Amino acid sequence: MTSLVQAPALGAAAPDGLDAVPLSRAPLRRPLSQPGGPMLVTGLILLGSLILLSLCAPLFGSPLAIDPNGLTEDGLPLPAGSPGHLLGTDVLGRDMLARTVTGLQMTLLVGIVANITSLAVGIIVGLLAGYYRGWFEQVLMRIVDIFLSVPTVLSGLAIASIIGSGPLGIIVVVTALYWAWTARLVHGETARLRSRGYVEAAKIARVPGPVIIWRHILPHMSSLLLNIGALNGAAVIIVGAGLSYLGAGIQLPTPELGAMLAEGSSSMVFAPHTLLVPLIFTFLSVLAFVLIGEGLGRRGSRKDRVSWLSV
Amino acid sequence: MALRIGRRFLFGAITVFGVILLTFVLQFVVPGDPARSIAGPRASPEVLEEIRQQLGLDQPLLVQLGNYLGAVFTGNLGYSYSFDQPVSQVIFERLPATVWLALLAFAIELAIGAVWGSWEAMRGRRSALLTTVNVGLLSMPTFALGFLLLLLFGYVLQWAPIEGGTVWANVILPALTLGLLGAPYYAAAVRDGMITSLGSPYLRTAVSKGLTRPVIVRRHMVRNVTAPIITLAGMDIALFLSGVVFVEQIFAWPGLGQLQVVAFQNVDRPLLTGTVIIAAIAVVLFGVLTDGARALIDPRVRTGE
Amino acid sequence: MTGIPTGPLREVGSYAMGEDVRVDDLHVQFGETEVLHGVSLEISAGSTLVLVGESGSGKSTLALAATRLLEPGLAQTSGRVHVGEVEMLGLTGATLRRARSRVIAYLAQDASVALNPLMRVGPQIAEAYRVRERLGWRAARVRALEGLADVGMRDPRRTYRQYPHQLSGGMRQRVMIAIALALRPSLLVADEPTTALDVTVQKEILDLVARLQREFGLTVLWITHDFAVVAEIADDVAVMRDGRVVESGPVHRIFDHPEHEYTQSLLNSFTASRTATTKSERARVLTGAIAVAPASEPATPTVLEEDA
Repeated sequence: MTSLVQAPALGAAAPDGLDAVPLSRAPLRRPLSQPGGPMLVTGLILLGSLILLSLCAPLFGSPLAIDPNGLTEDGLPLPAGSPGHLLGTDVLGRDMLARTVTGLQMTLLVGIVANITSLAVGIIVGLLAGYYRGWFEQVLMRIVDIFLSVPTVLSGLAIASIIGSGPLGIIVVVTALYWAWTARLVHGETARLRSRGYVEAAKIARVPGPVIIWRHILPHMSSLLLNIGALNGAAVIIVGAGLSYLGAGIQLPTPELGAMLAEGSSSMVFAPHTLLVPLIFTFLSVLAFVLIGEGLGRRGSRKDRVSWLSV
Repeated sequence: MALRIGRRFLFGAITVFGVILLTFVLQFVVPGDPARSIAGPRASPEVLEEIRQQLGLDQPLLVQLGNYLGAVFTGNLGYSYSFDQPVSQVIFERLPATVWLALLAFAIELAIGAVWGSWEAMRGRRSALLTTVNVGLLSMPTFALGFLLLLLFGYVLQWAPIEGGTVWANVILPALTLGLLGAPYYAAAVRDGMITSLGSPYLRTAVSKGLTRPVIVRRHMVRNVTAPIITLAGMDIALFLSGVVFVEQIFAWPGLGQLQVVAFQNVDRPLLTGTVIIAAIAVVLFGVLTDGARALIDPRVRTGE
Repeated sequence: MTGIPTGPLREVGSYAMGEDVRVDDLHVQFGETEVLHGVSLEISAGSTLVLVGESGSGKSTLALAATRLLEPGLAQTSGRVHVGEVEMLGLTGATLRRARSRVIAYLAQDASVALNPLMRVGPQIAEAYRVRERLGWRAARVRALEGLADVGMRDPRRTYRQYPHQLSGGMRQRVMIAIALALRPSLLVADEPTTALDVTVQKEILDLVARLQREFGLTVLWITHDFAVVAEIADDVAVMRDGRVVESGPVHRIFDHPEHEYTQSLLNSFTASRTATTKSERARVLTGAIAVAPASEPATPTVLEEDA
């Protein structure tokens, strides 16, 4: 969870067009043949499948229902592959499959919404700070610094305890935790793009600030933003699950993958599937975003070169 | 350049100050009564009131803030009632464990990342296997990997002890977890740095002088690759020092992260604020150190923006 | 940069460094595309051959192929490049390294990226002396300081300690020349080293190389797209187009009686220079060309519709 914050420092920079010419919107052509294409497509397919699966949650039965036959004679959860319970049961005899798919629904919902909100806040702050320089920028960036210096988990716990649990609470918490690094990156890029010729020209022509930002600066950041968006999505899901794991987020018995991980951790010795099943689904959710992010990131990159030193 | 460092310090101080302020304010918004926490659920209102007076909680907010700031500046971070010790002492006792973990994890991720990144760079092509590993590690939440390793090495293979055992045995799994998770970033930094370096004209000049490969790598490539790694390392270590809660929880490692959770659960405000301040200072400090290190390595940074 | 000091050069040895150079049927292919189609050239020891051509004619590829500095794995090369008794294309391993440090020197076009930005320039020159003459750092430093003086630096000690980004374009190119000179090469390949410089600085660098060539007896292969350079320093000229040499010969013959139409058209866009007969006149034309006749501006490659 901690490491993903640093991800975009390593290569999310957008390739640049000519200095004096505004960017034309090149269509997204033949994604599979470009570098990173297969990853991007795989990620999108994976994400789509997970979303579809989670939407079908009601079909799998109730996640809260306790099956009277759900435990073995010793009171242990049924393993995966047992009749009637494809993924086994948990310590209370509830069907793992139903719980997992419903949990997936919650995790994805929170993740996607929180991704959008944290990106929105971060992008807006970053654009404003980077475009309107001066003390305004400094104040905003100091706030960003403060948010970046506070320990993530702790703040998450604190804010969650104020706002309360439940999906809305987590969304707010995660947004508060994750807008800052996007803001910093967007600020850096905006400040860089601001000195371009066409921006200066627009300013001289007295085009209003917001219009300049929208028309001349944002389009050039599109691949950076996409990259950030994907990685942010991955990070957000991890944090959301993590907070639920710590008990600060979605409360049981409502299933959520993080909370189920917490449950599973106590029973993992005798019933490893109770841990592994939510773990795998959490992993897949994050993987989808990471694949999309990496796939996007590869598209703009230099092709790898053969070493000089192999001569 | 002195101006730059001065500015960084100033901003850093402002940041830390802001963090202190924010934490202070948050304390009063976060539900939980420290007095009740100390006294227990069945204490009478008079006892609670007395405790509050002792803690100075009955004073107006600004006065409390002022008192606190004054105390912090003299190095007094308050008294932790859950540990019955001064906060600074509690933190001090836990610091070595955190530093140990941080350094070992850093060593692991740097080692793995450097070998991985340079191998891929020299090879010239991304290997499908390593790309899969890369993506896999990036998608793994901290606690997930922690659990997996605990399951694997602790229970299945029984290589590492679940409890008891020497310090080394106990630290290796959490360090490995953090190290594996951080390795892709270092690998990417090394790989990108080396590829940039390998494609640069100045490397062609070096080759044209007829230098041998080890000399070229040592004299012309290492320093050029180190700069992005330093930036990464600075942020990384600062984050480690801010407390890696999940890993410490899973492996029961007594570091600052666990401290934070305990403080939170007990509403031990002084301890809470204390750990947050330490974390903020760590982040700011490493920011400045990183800046300085980069200026040391890259002369272009020194003479201008 | 002010003028070049004209003091006597240091004694290097009584021999001339340059050797005869012969390129035989050089083919270079990048993947599917053939870039050089059987190029052959000859350069007499101690003389300067200027290779003229427009962008895409393959002249840089020729330079890199001859000096074995093409990115490995990127190109397939065949043919022979003889520098004195050494055949460059057949070398490998330690022999290749030795040849790089003694036989060939390469002068790049953009000195700002051809120098290690994190190292001071002095050690980058000294490094070349270390390899060439097997010296320790202190002795190499002495030679490097001499080298800096040779290329016209006013304050060698000060320049030694500076970083590339602290120097002007012309000074950086002089550092590159100092590095090349340190290798005491049999062949110096200059790949458009003046293209990125101001016109006055171009002149200085050209004069510097010409002087060094005379004093050390260097064989120089100078690559350019600019006929002003040809006029300035060439003993012989070779004209390249689309990966082939279309014409070659002594400079006066090329100027007065070009045989190939392509050569003629290149010359036509350089009318002003053709009427100048003395070096100083040509110099004035060079420096004044920008204001007077944009068509003959040295820094801009010319595009000829007839060849499109």
